[in-house]
This record gives sequence, C-alpha cells and structure tokens, in this order.
Amino acid sequence: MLTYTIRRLLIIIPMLILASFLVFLGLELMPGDAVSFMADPETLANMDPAKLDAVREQLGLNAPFLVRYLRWLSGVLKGDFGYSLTSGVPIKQIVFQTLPATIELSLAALLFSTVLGTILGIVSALRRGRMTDNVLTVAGLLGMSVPQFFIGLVSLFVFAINLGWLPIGGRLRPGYESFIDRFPHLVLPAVVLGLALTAGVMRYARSSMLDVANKDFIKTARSKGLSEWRVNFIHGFRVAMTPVAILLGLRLPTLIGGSVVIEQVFQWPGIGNEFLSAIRGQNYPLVMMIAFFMVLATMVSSFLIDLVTALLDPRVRLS
Amino acid sequence: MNSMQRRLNKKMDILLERENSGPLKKKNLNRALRRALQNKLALVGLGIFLSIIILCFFAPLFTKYDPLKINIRASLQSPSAAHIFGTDTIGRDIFSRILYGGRLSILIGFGSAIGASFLGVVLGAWAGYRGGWFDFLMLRTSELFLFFPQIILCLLLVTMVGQSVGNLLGIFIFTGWCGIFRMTRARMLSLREEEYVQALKVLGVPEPIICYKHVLPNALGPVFVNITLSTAIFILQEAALSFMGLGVPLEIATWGNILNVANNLNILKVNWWIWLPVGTMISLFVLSINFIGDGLRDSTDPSQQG
Amino acid sequence: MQQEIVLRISNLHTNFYTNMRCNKVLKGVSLEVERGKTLCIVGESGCGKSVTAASVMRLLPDLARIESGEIVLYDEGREIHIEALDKYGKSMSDLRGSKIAMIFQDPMSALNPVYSIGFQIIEMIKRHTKISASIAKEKAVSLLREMGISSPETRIKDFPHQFSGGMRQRAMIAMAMSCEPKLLIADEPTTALDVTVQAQIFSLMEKLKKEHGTAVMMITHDMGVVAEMADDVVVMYMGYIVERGSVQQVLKNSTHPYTVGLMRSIPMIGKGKKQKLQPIRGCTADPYDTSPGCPFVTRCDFSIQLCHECIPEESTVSGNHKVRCHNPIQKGAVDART
Ligand SMILES: Nc1ncnc2c1ncn2[C@@H]1O[C@H](COP(=O)(O)OP(=O)(O)O)[C@@H](O)[C@H]1O
Ligand SMILES: [Mg+2]
Repeated sequence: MLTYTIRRLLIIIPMLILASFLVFLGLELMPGDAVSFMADPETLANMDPAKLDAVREQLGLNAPFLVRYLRWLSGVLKGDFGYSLTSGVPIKQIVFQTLPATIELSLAALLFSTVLGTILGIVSALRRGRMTDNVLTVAGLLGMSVPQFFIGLVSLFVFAINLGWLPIGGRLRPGYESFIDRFPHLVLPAVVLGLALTAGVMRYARSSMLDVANKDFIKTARSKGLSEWRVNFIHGFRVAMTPVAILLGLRLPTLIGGSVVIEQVFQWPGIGNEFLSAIRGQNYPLVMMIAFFMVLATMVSSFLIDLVTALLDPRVRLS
Repeated sequence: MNSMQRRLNKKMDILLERENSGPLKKKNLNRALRRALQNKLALVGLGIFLSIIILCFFAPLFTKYDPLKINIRASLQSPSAAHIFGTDTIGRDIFSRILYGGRLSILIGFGSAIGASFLGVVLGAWAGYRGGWFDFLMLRTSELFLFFPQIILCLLLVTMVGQSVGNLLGIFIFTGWCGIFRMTRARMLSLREEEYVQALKVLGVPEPIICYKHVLPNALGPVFVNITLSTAIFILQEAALSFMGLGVPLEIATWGNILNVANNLNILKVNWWIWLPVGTMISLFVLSINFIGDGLRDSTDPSQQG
Repeated sequence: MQQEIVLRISNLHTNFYTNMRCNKVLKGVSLEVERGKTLCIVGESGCGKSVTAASVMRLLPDLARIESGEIVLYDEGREIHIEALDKYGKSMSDLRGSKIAMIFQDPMSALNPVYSIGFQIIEMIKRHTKISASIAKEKAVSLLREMGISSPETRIKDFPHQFSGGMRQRAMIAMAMSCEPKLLIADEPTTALDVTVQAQIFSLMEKLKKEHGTAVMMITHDMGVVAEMADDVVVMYMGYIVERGSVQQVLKNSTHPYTVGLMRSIPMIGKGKKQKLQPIRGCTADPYDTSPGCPFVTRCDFSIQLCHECIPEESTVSGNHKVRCHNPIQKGAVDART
C-alpha cells in the first residue's frame, strides 16, 4: 500500500508542477501589468510612476521567464497568491473565505450520489429486466440528459418558490450558522449537483454487478455452499465496486466543474461564484489562481479516490 | 427470490409448450434488426431526435416570427394563440427563438463532437500504433486535460480568446478530444499485435497506411457510439456556458442563451414560459441522443444477450 | 471389494430457455460414480458436459432447469434426491462444498481476485464446520502444504494473482478438499494449464482419490487424459450419453462410431510419426434441430435406414458397457478397416 501511495504521488506531483506552470503562463499572457497584482495595491496607489520600475526590478519582473516562474512558485508555496485586481484583497484571503463552502457542497454531492447511485444500481441489477429496472434505466438516462442548471431552476421554482419547503438560495442566514441551520440551504444544491453523477454511478454499478454475476468466482462461491447473501455481497459487491470507484475518480473534475454552474443558480457563496465574477470583471490573476485551486482540488481528491480503489482491490495496489 | 422463481418457471413452461407443439415458424427478420426493434428506447429516441431536427432546420415552415425581431410593446406576454410559448423581455417570440436557436446549438454540438472525435482518433491511432515518445507525451497531455474540469478550462479559454461561435467550437474541440483519444489508443494497442499487421509490415507497406487504412477501421466501432454521446455532452456544455453568459454572444439565439434570463429570480418566479419550454427542449433532445447511443451500444456489444 | 456408488444420475433432462427458445441440452443422461474411482465425461465442446456438472451442483443459470430424471447422492446409507431440493435452499447449499465440491477450468477466474487465498479456503471450512478461526487457519495451511505449496504459512496471505497458474489450481483443489467431500467434480481442471503442470495436478488428484476415497467426476475433452486417469468413461454427444463403461471397455473395445472417431482423431504416443489421424467429418448439428433420427447420423459412416427414423435406446454390450446405437461396431471390425 505504501509503495502504491508513493507511486501515485510520483505521478501526481509532476502533473501539479505542469499545471502550475500553465497557470503561470496564463498569468503572463493575460493582458495587464503584472505589478498590479503582485504588489500590495495600497502601496502601489501612493507611489509615483518613476518608482514603479524599481518595484518591478525588486519583484523580479525583469528577470528571465524561468526565474520569474520559480519565484512565483515559491511564493505560492508560501501562501502568497497575489492580489485581486478589482478589490485589492489578497487572493489567499478570497480563496480561504470561499473554498470551504465549495468543499462542503461538492462533498455532500459526492456522498449523496455515491450512496444513492450504488443502491439504485444494485436494485436495478437484482431486478434486471423487470419494471423497476426499466424505470431506473430511463431515470438514469434522464439524469444524464437534463442540464444541471435547468434541474436547478426547476427545483428552485418548485420546492423553494412555490412550495416554500426550502430556502431560495445562499448558504446561511446571519445568526443561524450551525450545521443544522445551514442544512436546508445545502439540500437542493447538493442534490442537483449530485444528480448527474448519481445517474452515472447507478449505470456503472448496475452493469458492473451484472458483469460480476457471470464471473466464475461467483460460481465457485456458490459451489462452496455459501449463502446467497454472502455470494452477492461479500464476493460480488466488493469486486463490482472497483469500476465504480474508478468512475468516481474520473468524474470528479466534472463534479467540481459543475459546482461553478450550480453555485451560480443557487447563489452559493463558493469559489465557483467568485470565479465567475472574476471572469466577468476580467480579474485575470484571480481567475487563474482559482482555476489552479480547482485543478489542485481535483488532483488531491482523485488521489484519495485512487487510494480507496487500491484498498478495495489488491490487483490495483500490487500490480 | 420465490416470486421471481415462480415467474421464471412460468416463462419456461410457456416456452417448453411452444417447443413441443411443433416446429416454430421461421422468423424472417434478421437478428440485429430484431434486436434493434426490441430496443424501444432507441426507437423512441430516434423519433424525438428526428422531430426536433426537422422542427429546427425547417423552422420557417413552423413559425412566422423572426427570432431576432424586437417588439417592446409585446414584451413578456404569456403563451397565447399568437405566441404559443409567449414572448421574452424584449418581445421576441420564444417559440421561434427555440427553433432557430436549436439550429445553432445542434450544429455546435455535432460540430464539436465530430471535430473532437476526429482529433482524438487521428492522434489516438498513431499513439497507440507507434508507441514511443509520441505516445508517452500524448498520454500525459491527455491525463492533464482529464484532471482539468472541462468547464473551467472552457471558461478560461473563453476569457482568453473572447466569445464567438467559432471560438466556442474551437475550444470544445481543443478540450474534448481526450476521451476518444484514450479509447482509440487502447483499441489500437491491442490491435497492433495482430498477425495481419506483422504481415503488412513484412510486406513493406508504409506505417501510416497500415495504421490508418488497415488497423484503424477495426477500432472505430465504439468511437461511433461515442460521437453520439459526446454530442450530448457538448450541447449540455454550450447550454451551461451560455446560461452563465459566457458562451455564444448573447445577441445570437441558442438554447443556452434563451435560458440566460432565468438567472433573474423574478423571471424565474413569474415568467415560467421563458425558461421552461426551452429547458425541456434541450433535455428532450439530449435524452433522445442518449437513448440512441445507449441502443447502439447494446446492439454492438456482444456480451448483451437477452 | 464391494462397489460403493456415490452418485447416480438417471435419465436426466435439462433444458435452457435463453433467447426465448427452448434448448434441450441434456436428453437423458445416466451415469454412476463410484467411491475412490474416477469417472471421465468426454465429448466435444458444447455437448453438455458442464451442464451435467451444473445440474448435479444445482448451479444452473436462472433460465435453465432440470425437467426430469433423478440425481441421487448416497451418503452413509442415506439417499439424497438432489433434483428435488430447492436450488436456493439450505439443504442444497449444505451439500455444496461439504458433500460435493467442484473445481473449474480456469483457476484465475474461479478465485475471487480481491480476497486472499487463505480467506477463501477458511471461508469454506467455516461454512461447513464449527471450528474456531485459528484452527480453520491451521487447517488451511496444512491443506496447502498437502497440495505441495511451499511455505504455505506465508503464501496463505497472498492474492490469487500472486500465484502461478498451477499453484492456483492447487489452491482450488485444497479448497475443494477442505471439507472432505464424497464427490469431487472437476470441470476440465487442466485445460488452462501447461502440460507439465497438468501432469502434476493429475498425480495430485490421483493421490487424493487414493488417500481420501473421494469419488471424482472429471470432465474433459481430451482422450489422453481419459486414458491416463479414468476408471470409468462416459462419452457424450449432443446431450446424449452415447457410450459408457469401464475405461478398458470403452477405449479398447469402442462400439459407438463416435467413440471410434474420437479415438482415431487423436495422436497416440508410441504409434510413431506415421500414424494416420482422421478427424470426424462434418460438424455438430444445430441444437434446435428437431429431426427424429440419431443426432450423429449425418456424420456417421455406419448409418443404416433406422438411424434416420428414430433415436436408438441404450443397449448393453457386455456387463456395464452400454451403447446408444442402432448399428454398433463389432469387435474386430475397426481393426479390419485400418
Ligand atoms: N449459459 C448458457 N446459456 C445458454 N445456453 C447454454 C449456456 N450454457 C450452456 N448452454 C447450452 O448448453 C450446451 C452445452 O454446454 P456445455 O455443457 O457448457 O458444453 P461443454 O460440454 O463444452 O461443457 C451448449 O451448446 C449451449 O447450447
Ligand atoms: Mg464446459
């Protein structure tokens, strides 16, 4: 397991470096003067233009490209992400304010879709060819086909506006900030964000369960006299879960990307909303840094999912 | 388990009786066709798909309104005989906007799917066939792309190159080739070990000809299914980007752009006819593509026996 | 020594109902397996060998069932009618593994890839005996040692993919033997292995059969295996047993044209390079074919008019040697032809 973890890390780290390099490249290519986001805006505002060159020199902006990159990277590693162009707030502060909301939303959606998708997939497989299975198959295709933001709009219209069961948007009301109070706000966005993934997990779990049911080792398990329950769950389910875990890893980027759209629909104060307003305000440094954080989040979480997969299946960790 | 057992037994009794009551009539329909017909979902999908295509591409036959004609006096009318889906904030007829907008959305979807598949197949075939440094480089690149949430990448690129239909098409192709690339590559990896490939090599046939003319066609089956499925994905993506106001320029009608106004809570609350029909239209169209794609996959997959 | 029959199948009919058709796969299979003896079932692929085994284990797929016939297991004076048990019931699953165990063709796919070898053996022991986990583990280790796996204490923690093909099949056999079954069904146990490993597995099975008195029902399509391993042989063709008897009777004194054909179509060690191999002409008939005659008639060199009209009944050649043929080949006739 340890060697596997190290091996995965060895794949992830170069990717991460490459991604950071691309982000830096993006920052360099974006229109605008790099000084404006690298230096503290207050000192910058009170500075006479002649001194600007000195600041540039001091920030290393006249150095060769590679040196600038390395300097930027070491700054990022120390937590210096630069400053927002529009508000002058350190980007670090923006990220740390909004990231928890996005993590909360994505985790809730991931949890919801994994659990529900797996259960529905198993039910569908066990009732193959019957009414339940057919209904679930169509529902799964529907879940993949309806645009997420449209489901969001419809559910807002129905559950929040017309029925009034759940709040219309946002994450919390001032003064009511415990998880229990926040929970009603979380329900709709998390469910809507998770629906497409639920459909995917369900389809995968179904076909994987059916696939495994025809495997020889299931026949062996039966021939050992094990109970149907043990055959299906101890032998079948565990093996069938490997492809599902792999699918989750592959779909994570879509989930994290989807949170941008969902945050907009539900006015969820996460990093995705910040990303959109940064794009609309042409606040390039913030745009690039947030994109970097999203890639970072995807890489870290798919690394974690890889570890889960390896725990599930010794062939993965010992190959 | 028990009721299932009984149900199965009954089915088996019926079949046994039919078998014993004499030879069966010969079935004329060939097997693949029969199986396709059995797949009712795919048929329903095909029906919906064709209807929407006809509605959109022969739009002038179905609506007399110009989708771009602004008529402030007739703004925000609810559905009526004159405007069956009502009008939007500046009085444009929604039904005609949906039909004309569909043209562009569908073209963007198909165009990107075909472009991305083409790119993915060409690169994937060569990478899988030749291996070596090219394969290594392409594989790592595709991994990097897969780690980037696609919509984030699209948004980044849109901010860099600006909003236009052509740019969007290019961005979709540029960000969407990885899936097909990896699929083709994996198929080619196993196909290149086949003996006929060795034979062609010995005969001195140039490598690109072996790769693209002799081996690639055998890898294409699943790719075609994938084109349908990625069309669905690109249509959804265009809709999402335009909904956020960052896809096709807002003055051009596409399905996503029509939905953009639903960002306004008041319109969401009151003027349901602006967003509900077009959202349903997108959903139906993508659903029909997924029905067809699913049916195609079943009929090309030998492991699916009924 | 008095022969002790462990399993008797009489007139077994099994049908498959896949693809909305009724496929009569077994059309009257009768055989007996004796304690401490090996019965080989031979026949080309698709003739119903595995289905016979699955019928005995009651492990047929959902869309298949036993239509008629008897499968009787004799266990310490009791007669257990397997065909009458509920296939999902407890009394049937109590038999599986403890009285009848089975090993499969491909040990890689027959072992669960995500559990260790030890887990899979211990699981089986614990299912059928009431012993503690640590004793079960000791037993698993000693079984593996008995099967010739070196340092079983450590290998028991390994996963199937860490074993070689031969070792996997040994582990499968260890598992199958762990509850001392009366009957071991082996469905082409060495087809997926290379020849040297094949020989080792066979001698291992031979040893187990001698030491534990297990009855073995071995499925194969390889006449060489039959000659080497079998005490008794049944030859199957298209769901019928066309000839059965002791290995001497069936191989040396074949009477059914199909058996004769099978014997001719394989090279025999010791006959030299010049031996003439004759494949059986034609190919297997359509299983849905409902013409009334003998299923082998289109490929048979000895057919007579009657063969086209009805299916022959089983007749006795001598003693236990039985054949299902209208025009069985007399002894000597074969030699005259070659
Ligand atoms: N799972 C199955 N589904 C449908 N038909 C089957 C299945 N398994 C076996 N059969 C039918 O039973 C016949 C005998 O199969 P089998 O016993 O597996 O042959 P073999 O003698 O090679 O082991 C096959 O020709 C096929 O028609
Ligand atoms: Mg078989």
